[in-house]
Amino acid sequence: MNAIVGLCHFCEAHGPRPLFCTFTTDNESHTTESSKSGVQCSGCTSLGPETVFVSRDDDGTIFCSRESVPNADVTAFLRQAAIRSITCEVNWNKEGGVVYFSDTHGHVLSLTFQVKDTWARGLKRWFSIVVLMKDKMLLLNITPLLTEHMQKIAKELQELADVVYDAEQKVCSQRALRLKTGRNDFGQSRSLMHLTGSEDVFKRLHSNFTWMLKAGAHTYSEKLYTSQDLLKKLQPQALKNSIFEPSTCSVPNDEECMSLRSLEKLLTKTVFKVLMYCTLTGVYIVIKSNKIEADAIIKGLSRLLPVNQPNYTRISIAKSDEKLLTSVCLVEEVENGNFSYKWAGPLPVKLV
Amino acid sequence: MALFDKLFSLKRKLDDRESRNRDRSCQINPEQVRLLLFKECDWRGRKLLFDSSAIQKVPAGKNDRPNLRQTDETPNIVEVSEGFTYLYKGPAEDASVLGEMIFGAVAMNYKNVALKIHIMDEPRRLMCTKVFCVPSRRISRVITERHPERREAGGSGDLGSRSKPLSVPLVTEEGVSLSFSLDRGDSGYYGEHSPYSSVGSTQDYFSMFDIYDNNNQDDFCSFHLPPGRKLSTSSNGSWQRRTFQNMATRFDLGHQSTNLLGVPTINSNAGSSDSQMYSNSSTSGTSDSIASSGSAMLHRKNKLGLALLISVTDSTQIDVVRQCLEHSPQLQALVCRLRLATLSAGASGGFVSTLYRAAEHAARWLSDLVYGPRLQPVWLNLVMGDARTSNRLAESLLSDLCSILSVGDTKSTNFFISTLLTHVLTYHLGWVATVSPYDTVDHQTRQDDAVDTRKPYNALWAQLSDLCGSIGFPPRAARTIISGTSNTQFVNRLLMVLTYFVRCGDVKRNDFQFQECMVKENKVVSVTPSAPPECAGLRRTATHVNKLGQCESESLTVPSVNTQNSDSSVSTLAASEVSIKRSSTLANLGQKLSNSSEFPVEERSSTSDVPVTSQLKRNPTVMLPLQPSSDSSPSSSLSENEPETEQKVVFVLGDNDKLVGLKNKSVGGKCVKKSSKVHNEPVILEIPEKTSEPCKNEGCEQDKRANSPSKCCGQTLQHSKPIKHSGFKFEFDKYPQIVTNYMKSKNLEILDRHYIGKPGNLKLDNFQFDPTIVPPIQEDRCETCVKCQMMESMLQTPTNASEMEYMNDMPRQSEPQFAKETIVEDTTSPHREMTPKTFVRRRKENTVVVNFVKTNKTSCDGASVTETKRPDVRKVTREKEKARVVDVKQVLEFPVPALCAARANAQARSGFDGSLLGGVTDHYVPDLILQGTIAKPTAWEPELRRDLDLTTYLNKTLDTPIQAIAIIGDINTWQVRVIGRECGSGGMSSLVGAMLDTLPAMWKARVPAQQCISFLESKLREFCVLSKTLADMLMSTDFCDIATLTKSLNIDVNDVPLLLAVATTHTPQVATRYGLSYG
Repeated sequence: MNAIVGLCHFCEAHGPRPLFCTFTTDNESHTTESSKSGVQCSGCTSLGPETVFVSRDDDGTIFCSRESVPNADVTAFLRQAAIRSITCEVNWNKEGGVVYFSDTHGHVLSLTFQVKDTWARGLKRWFSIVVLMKDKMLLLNITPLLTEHMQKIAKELQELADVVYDAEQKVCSQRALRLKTGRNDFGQSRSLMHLTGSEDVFKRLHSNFTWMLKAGAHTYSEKLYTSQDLLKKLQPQALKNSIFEPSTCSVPNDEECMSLRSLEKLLTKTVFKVLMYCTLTGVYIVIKSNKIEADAIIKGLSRLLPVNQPNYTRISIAKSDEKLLTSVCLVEEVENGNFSYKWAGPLPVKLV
Repeated sequence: MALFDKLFSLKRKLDDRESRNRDRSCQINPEQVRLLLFKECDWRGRKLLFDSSAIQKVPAGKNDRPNLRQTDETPNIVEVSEGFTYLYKGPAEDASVLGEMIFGAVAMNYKNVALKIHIMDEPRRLMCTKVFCVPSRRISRVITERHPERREAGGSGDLGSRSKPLSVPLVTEEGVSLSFSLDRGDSGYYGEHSPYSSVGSTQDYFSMFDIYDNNNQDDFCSFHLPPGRKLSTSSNGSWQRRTFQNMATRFDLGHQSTNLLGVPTINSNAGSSDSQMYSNSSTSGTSDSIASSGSAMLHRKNKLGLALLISVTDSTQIDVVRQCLEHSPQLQALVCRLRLATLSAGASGGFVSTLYRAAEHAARWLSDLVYGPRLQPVWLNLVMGDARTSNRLAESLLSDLCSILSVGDTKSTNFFISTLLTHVLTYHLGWVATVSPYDTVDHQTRQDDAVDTRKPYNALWAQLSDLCGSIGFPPRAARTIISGTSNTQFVNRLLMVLTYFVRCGDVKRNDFQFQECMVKENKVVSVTPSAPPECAGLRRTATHVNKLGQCESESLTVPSVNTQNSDSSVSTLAASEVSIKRSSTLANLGQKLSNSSEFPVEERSSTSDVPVTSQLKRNPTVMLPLQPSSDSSPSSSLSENEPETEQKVVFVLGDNDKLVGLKNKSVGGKCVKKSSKVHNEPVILEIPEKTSEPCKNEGCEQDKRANSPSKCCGQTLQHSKPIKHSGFKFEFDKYPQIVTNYMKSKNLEILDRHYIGKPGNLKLDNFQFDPTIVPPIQEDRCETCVKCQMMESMLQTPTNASEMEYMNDMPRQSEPQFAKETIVEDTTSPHREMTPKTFVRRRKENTVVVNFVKTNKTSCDGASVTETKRPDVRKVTREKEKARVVDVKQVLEFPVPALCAARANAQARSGFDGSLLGGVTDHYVPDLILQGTIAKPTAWEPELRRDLDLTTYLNKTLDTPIQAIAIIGDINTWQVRVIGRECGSGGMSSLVGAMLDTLPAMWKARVPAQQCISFLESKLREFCVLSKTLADMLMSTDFCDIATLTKSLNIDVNDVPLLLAVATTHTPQVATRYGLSYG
């Protein structure tokens, strides 16, 4: 699925920013291509620009997670999506929600949610998971799936953060402290790893996002049927010698064989007429040539015949010291590309 | 068997279908669908204009009169129209929140506000919103005036310019009498009545149709190649189409576009097609002048926000949401229709009633979509069922086919069936892929039950385009409507038969379940990046330093103070305080400076460092109020102030440098070069003192360590902080040099510009920056030190404001290093030796007051070193910022999480074959691909035309303009018509006719159904082969007239459109070479 799944957050210092994103590619270089570094802020940092997570699927798809995408346009889109999802869109539920919207760059499905943070303003931080796609229809179609899973991820993060939050609050209630001291200087945003107390939170996100990308791609699967399938089932024997036989409908093109036009130019009028007549009436023909490819001529002639008989033997190349019957038509290259024929049969009056 | 039974049970129930339909459609409660209309004005805020849940429709009483007075009492009659009274029940609770959701918290350019969908819980609802601009009254009049004309023009599918606006405002028919809004007083519905506004909104309508203006026949085929058509010049169509769809929708991830194949990617804002009227019209508007003036005006106009809320009452209906989203193209069309209704409501009066009716329409659409009668797709059932089922199905199909042929394919019925089938085969081209020898569905790679893991594409999209037949070229989206007022059974049978010819693939929905898997990396690959071209980067700085200079005018002034002051820390003070409390600061400054000047030795200056540092540390609060004013004060005022203060300071000292610097500064723009010189100067002066310097620096450091209240603080200050605080803190408790450095860094452009001219300096910088010089410093971070941490969190100075922008772009890795180097490098002498070369000239000017100068110099030295250095540090950071490229060093590989089916049998049949092939209803259902209706065509044809236009419009920003056409088979008159642009209605194809003639004869002769089917299929395949011949012939001859064509291929004139349409699926060039207006 051509999509980018991103995790964004609201940083006190930098505003809404993407932190981490997973995308699919089949180009190895996208995973290792150097990217622009983000800001120097613990909250806005996930893997760091130097680390990349990669999963390889059997079909050659590479799921790659990075802090940012090398491409500037996509980065801009991602940032725009972060801003839109966290600050612009209003949700029914105060604690976040799912919105689909379009941007000039593409289409976005976003889930905003809050994660508890002792050190944050209001004791919680805004996060959002965004799915960016250019294919509007697909994005909308798989919205239920994506929504469900995004909510699951959000819930997981929230649960992890709750534990950390409770532990921290036990040490010292921030609310009380802030009320007492009157200070509300929140330090730098803490990274998600701190918030959740999980070192491998981004690894988990990678696997979740990867799953989303993979599942999204395969949610709807199509199976195409052909009439061969149907006929095989209804009447297996009926396909034989019918128009449905493979290669029935294809005709060799001029590259492989001599076209009639050039054959006509090659031969004299009489020889051509005889050759045509013999071909179409099924007279055995033997072609003897030196310079010109006899094979090409044969192929050209056999285009006129039903294709169902691949080993059509009536037209053949002359073998040395072969005794020819009189009924066989022999077309022979005499010299300088001139052909003559030997055939006892008469041409119909029409053709003479 | 089951399928078979279903099919027959379906047939049996045909007669009582009508009643059943009504029952079923009742399952969607009209109240579940709610329509809201908001208006947002920049001045007057947001206003609810309409809320269908707040309106009650009751049959009108005799004396019902709309209440025109402004009253607050509810209920209250707002409108009486067409025998119904509309009661206003009072505002809904959630309206304001919904309004917020529609428009968003932040004012957005509504060009970007395309279709937006909120999925809400509690109660579970789906809200589709759309924001667009207010139409003006002027346009509305235009519409109504044109209205009568439209009717006349309606019947003919001509391309004349008149027809385009005419068929639009169909909805106006619905609008009736009164114009009213929920808000009694000023509805504010209309925009201002400037001449421009009318133009702007005419565009609304025009923009819908500007596509037609663009589609001049000649350029039409030349560059609008659909994605995937550019490459696929032959064969393999269906698969390629799908692959290219996948490729066209991918992101460019790398630095360079990797789109080597030249697959046209879908225009990025393509998807917002439904709402991008405005932006599109400005680019591709009808006439440029109108478009541009219009779009300019659009920004000033008020916005309307339209929202369609679909509530799901209970858990059983949860699937409704899914179905809506699966039918996203249809949903979009619905929203578009609602939008048209809104426009007409505003235009023609009957505001409330029109919108209320629109809401009812939406509700009906939903119930039609979810619970409407559906056909069993015969083709898919045949091909998917087991042999026995298929055989039976085939028999029933044949008997159906023969029975309708006997009635419908006679001379008296105009060979209705043959003609209809000709058109169906011509436009619903999905069948081609199933029979075509040139479009091989890859049998080998397809496994039967496993999930297809090849390049994924949107199966639903593929299926829809197969069903609509938009696979030829140019793509056309077709729909077929059979109408018959009397013979429902015949219509149903006919529809069943048509599902055999309207073909598509089978789409299944897979339910997957996520399974926690190990998040352990399989392997770690270290990437060795190619050596970053650091030196090159330094050289390149020049260009973007300039840029910097342009944008950071403020920073010009502040740092220049630094250069002039001898002591770095003092300079910081000066910089910050100067603008605020001049007198006190001056005294202070003067004291400091005189102090330092009194003691000629470097130690003084170094010691003077420390107190200031500690001072800063201890009362950071002092700094806090000071800083913002200096920051926020406009640069001009700063520069005004500073010279004064500086002058005084300088006067006290009698220092030449300062005077020079002062002048530079007051000159303003010119200061750049001079000030840099000034600041270079001190370095020169050191030369004589060179020997003493290292010790000075060392002493300085030692002092600091000794003097600082806690050792670790000092250390943290020096080494570690930037990492931690880089984000947004600027700590003065750090070593003051850092402060200075920061200030200096703001000065970057000055210095850099200077460097550009002087390669020597550049060299120096390079040298200074050599990382090898950095001696190992142990990074004691002293996390335990409470004080440090306190300071970290506390010291958030107001400089943050500027700092933030500055830091925003700062690369993470580079910064800490610089800090280290800054301090360290003083101890290393080599770069000193470089300095003399550059700074000879200035020496002379300072000769007068040697001693003073010297102290200044030496004290300056520390600063200047950092200063000179800092800029290039800055330069590098800027450099990195510009490129901001950090190489990947580590790749961690993880296993791909497996897709596990949620249930044992997790594949649910899904897709449009089951939902868009509708049965017979009593009304016209928009968006269905195949349907039958007992309503008269005249009743719904205007609606159909509107929908065709909408389809075209919705797809217009895609790469391929889609021609929407409809095939109408009218049982009453036995006529088949093709409606839509650029489609003439040809007659019956003799090929199809012959095929259909043969079948009843075979059936009568008791030829088994399988053989009949096989005959049918081979005939279809023959068409493909014939079309290939036709295409080959057309492509190989320069000019081919129709007589030659028909004669040489032995076909009828009426066969040509069909064959040509088929030909475009495998040889799209045919279409570009020969116009399509064929037939």
